[in-house]
Amino acid sequence: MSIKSHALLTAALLAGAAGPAAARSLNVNFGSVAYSFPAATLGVVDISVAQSQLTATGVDFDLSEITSMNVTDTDLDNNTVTITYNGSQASVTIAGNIARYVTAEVDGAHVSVIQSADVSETTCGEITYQLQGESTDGSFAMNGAYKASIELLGLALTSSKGAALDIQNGKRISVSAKSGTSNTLADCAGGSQKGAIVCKGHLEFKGKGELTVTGHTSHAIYAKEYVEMKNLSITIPSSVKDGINCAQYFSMESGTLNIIAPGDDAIQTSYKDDTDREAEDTGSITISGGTINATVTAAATKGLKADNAIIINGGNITITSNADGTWDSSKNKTKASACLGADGDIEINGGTLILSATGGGGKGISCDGKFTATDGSVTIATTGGLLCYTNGTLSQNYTGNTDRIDSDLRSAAKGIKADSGVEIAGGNFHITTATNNAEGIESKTTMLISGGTIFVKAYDDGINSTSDLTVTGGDLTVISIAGDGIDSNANLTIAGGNVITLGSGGMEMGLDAATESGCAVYITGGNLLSFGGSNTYPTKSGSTQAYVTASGSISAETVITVSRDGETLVTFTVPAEYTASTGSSTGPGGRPGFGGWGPGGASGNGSMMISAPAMVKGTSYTIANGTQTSTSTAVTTSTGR
Amino acid sequence: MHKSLLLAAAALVALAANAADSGHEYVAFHSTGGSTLVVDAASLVMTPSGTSLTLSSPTVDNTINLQEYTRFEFISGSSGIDAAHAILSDGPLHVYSTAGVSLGEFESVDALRSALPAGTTYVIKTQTSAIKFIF
Repeated sequence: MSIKSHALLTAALLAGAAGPAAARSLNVNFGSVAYSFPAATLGVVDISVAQSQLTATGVDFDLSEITSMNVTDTDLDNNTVTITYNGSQASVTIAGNIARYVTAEVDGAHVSVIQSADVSETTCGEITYQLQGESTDGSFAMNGAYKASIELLGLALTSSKGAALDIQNGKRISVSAKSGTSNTLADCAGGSQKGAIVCKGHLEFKGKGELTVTGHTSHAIYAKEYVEMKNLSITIPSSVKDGINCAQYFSMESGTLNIIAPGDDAIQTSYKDDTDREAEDTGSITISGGTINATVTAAATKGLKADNAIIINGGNITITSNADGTWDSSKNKTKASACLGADGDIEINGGTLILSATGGGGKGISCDGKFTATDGSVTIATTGGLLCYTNGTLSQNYTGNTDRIDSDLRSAAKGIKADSGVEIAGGNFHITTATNNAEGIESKTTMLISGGTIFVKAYDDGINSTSDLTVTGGDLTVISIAGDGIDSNANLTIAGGNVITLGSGGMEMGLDAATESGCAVYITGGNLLSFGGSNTYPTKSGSTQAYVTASGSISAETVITVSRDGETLVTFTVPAEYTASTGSSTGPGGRPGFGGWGPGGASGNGSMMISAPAMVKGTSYTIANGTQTSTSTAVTTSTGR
Repeated sequence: MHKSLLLAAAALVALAANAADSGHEYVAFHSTGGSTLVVDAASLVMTPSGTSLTLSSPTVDNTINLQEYTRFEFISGSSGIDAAHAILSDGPLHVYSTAGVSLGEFESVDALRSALPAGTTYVIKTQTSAIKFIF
């Protein structure tokens, strides 16, 4: 084909592609509000001066209120309302087919729209509101009784009177930012509104554009019902209260959510705490995908805070809490921050979480319910001190003795804390804590670890449970700087998995069970290296798997093997993160120190206990700890510590 | 040959697309007495005030009485006369200038269209109505 032919063809195609001239329409204008009727479907327009009435497509208008009518070549889809902001003014165009269902008022750049109660699937169906333009003194309010969609097509809207988007329609409201558009919404300061975006119903955020929302009075985004999010990129630079606050639930499937400086929690859900609540009123937060980056700084705030459960099934979640703890005078107890905080359960079934807490008592994960994990990657680092309220003074880093301080008056930084139990069946955990009383994983009831890869390096106990603690699987590496490696305040059972637990010196142990209460350590399976100032040795017949013991010190990356007749039974490598205690005059929580006789201490050795499934009771084994060797005869029980 | 077919096909597609979207070029105002006023719809603005409706556009400047003209609609046509098909029937059509000077009598709209130049205002009277075209 010649160049000329190409040009001709291109021109012809372009003529076609340029496409149809926009369909002709008649706009019936009432000041800044227009009803747009396509010429193709308009039919005959009747005018009655006597009745001061103009009738188009069966819709009656007051003739005396019509400011003009004009013919346009613009094309407005059925069921669409466009709102265009331009400085101190706004204009509204309503598709003619919904003229009988929508009324609008414009005051400067403040637009108020009402959908009639007649809007339904059998009349006109869902109405879409398209917003664009800019105003520093404008808003959009909408009321109605049927679901609606709001499309943001490049909107910069700051209200001087209240919310930027005030949706009093109690149904499902879809808010989408169209691909390639940037949209910003902000409310006024000092108002009574609950957010820059307020929705009486439930909000569904979607679209592939960007939305920035700033809350100058309260939350940035508030919904009286649930909030769902898909695809959209939302940034909340700041808010006086929560970044997102909603009832029922918050659910995120995809998209990006950046909550930079909320004055309270980043995301908070609440639910109606009574028996007649709706099924969807779960009070939960569910993250299935997408990216969340949030930082909280206000005292005792949470990154994600749920009245009920937090469920993480996927996504990339990075939450930093730089929030100190506080004293709640109404409840007479300390209140600390957490990256994830739930009054119910917390489940991790997937995703990647990077959680960091720096404030006094700040926790990575804290729930009143049960913590469970089946998959996912969780990294938690807490560096905050022990929050303590003593003699009318709140300390963010209390270092005194806590033995006689009521638990309500103190709150320690912890990696994971669950009041109703911990069950870990999978996932990859890396948890570090750095200060007094800061445990890695703590259950206030029972704990069951059946899988996953768990690394803990904690200042206080690495893993602690109030009731029975059982390990049936998983790879555990637990290091305590100044406490027990694994500590159960009841029975402690190792029934499977690969467990390295390294306590500190003195009274702190590798494995510690509540023998003083008649409880015991049971070893019935798994590979175990337990090292500390001492160990709780199995004493009861229920402990069936044999173990050997040794004393001495260990050091990072040392290989420890147990063998018999030159055949290696089991091998452990001391974690690179392990640092032997150098002794201290003061133990964790101000307890008596272990200096001088703990592992790596000035003059003493630690206690080592090793167990493996193939170990046979009564058989002598050689234990090689680096270059040092010793022998031990395997037993299944002994007399105690 | 192949190239020519391609070009023709593309051009036809383009033309078809544009043709399908043409239409509604005029607005016809109907009076209670049977008269019709036809104006170019392009950029037409209609402003009501009491009993009057002011019509304005780059080619239209007129005011009609809403007590007389009580209905209007869009009509289509490639020209004003062509658009008359929508509201005229063939038959004796008496055409006058706006000054009332007779410009002739035509048996059909087609005959009228071929005889009269565009760009002028006409009044066409049938046996039952009078139609004024403002172009």
